[in-house]
Amino acid sequence: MKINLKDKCDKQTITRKDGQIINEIIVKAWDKEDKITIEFGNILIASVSFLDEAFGKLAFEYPKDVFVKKLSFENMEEYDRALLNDILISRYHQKELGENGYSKPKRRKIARRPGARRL
Amino acid sequence: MLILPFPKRQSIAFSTRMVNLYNLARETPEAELTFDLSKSESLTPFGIIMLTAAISESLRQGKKCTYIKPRKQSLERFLSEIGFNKFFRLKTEAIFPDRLRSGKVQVRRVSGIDALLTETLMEIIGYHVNLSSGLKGSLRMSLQEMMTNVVDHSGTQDYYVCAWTYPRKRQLRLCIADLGIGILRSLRNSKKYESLSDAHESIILATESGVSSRPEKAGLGLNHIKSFISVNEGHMCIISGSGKVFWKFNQGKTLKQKMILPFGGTIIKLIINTDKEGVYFLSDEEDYLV
Repeated sequence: MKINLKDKCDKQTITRKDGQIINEIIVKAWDKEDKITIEFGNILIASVSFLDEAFGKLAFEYPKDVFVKKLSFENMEEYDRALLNDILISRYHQKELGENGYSKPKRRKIARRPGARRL
Repeated sequence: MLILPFPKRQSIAFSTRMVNLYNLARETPEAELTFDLSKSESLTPFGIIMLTAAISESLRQGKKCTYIKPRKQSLERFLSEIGFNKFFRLKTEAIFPDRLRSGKVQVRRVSGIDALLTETLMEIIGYHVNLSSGLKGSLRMSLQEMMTNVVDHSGTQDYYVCAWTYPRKRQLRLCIADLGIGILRSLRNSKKYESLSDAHESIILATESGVSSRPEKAGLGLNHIKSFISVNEGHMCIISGSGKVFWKFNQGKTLKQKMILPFGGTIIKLIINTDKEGVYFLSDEEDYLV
């Protein structure tokens, strides 16, 4: 199954409400589909609220390996990929803590460009 | 008639005075107000937002407002450039017809999420300053999260926004202010934080990951903005209720100040270094899940 963000959201990719539309489609298809592909169409989302609501919250429902196996993200801007990974790591960390409280980051924040390898 | 004398400088350093003037304009029973800018010499996005909000809200209350022009002619021109005259439909010459060249996002009152505003800001800033792709992403993220926070948490849909570039300093200054319920009251809506009583504590808490006034899992936006400004070694200042917290990341300082008269809503001001890093992520690429 392929979900095209441009078709489903047009330019509305900012709020949690916008993200909820995508989240609902994914949740509905989760048990029926082996693989769900999200087509970003190279648009820059840069919204924590949208990405968290659409994908980040799935971390509370599904283990990491299941999430990775089920979802794939195509034509995503590097910035958005880094942002989404950051959100997912935060949410899985929160899940480990077993609460919806705030969590301290595991690592110190570092300045690094997406795509750049650490030496 | 009440005359409100605005100070010489109207930056966030003079926030107590600016907020007092704003509160006075809103709360006075006087039907006629005069905003005296004659002694004003410099403005920042924060200053223009407070001034615009004070006049705009007074007009909405049905008060008659007039203003005394600044003596400094360059400031008068500047007010025109930043859209002050246009905002109040004051007669003025079009001094800077090319909005792209000015590098300034004119002061405006916005209702709800405005996707076009993000595009406009990115276009104007991008024309004026050569931003890295990481900085572009972080800037877009910050603006979108600030708008979303107003709509989701402030209890109002309306806010004021203004931004402009300082090419010599290689800085972008961005300010957004809502006239909603403020961070402390908003967080208290959540059972988890209903016992919060300190304005400073609520501001600092709101910038932590996972803290939200919403019952469902949220609370990442402001944390991401703070992380970005931290890596960028910029400044972030939040004024809400009787609290003001100022993060000066380039100096490693966090300053707290008590507002003498509380500001009912929330003001967020960012200073972003346009020649510095914009990417701040926690995760390393080898940890990526997707």
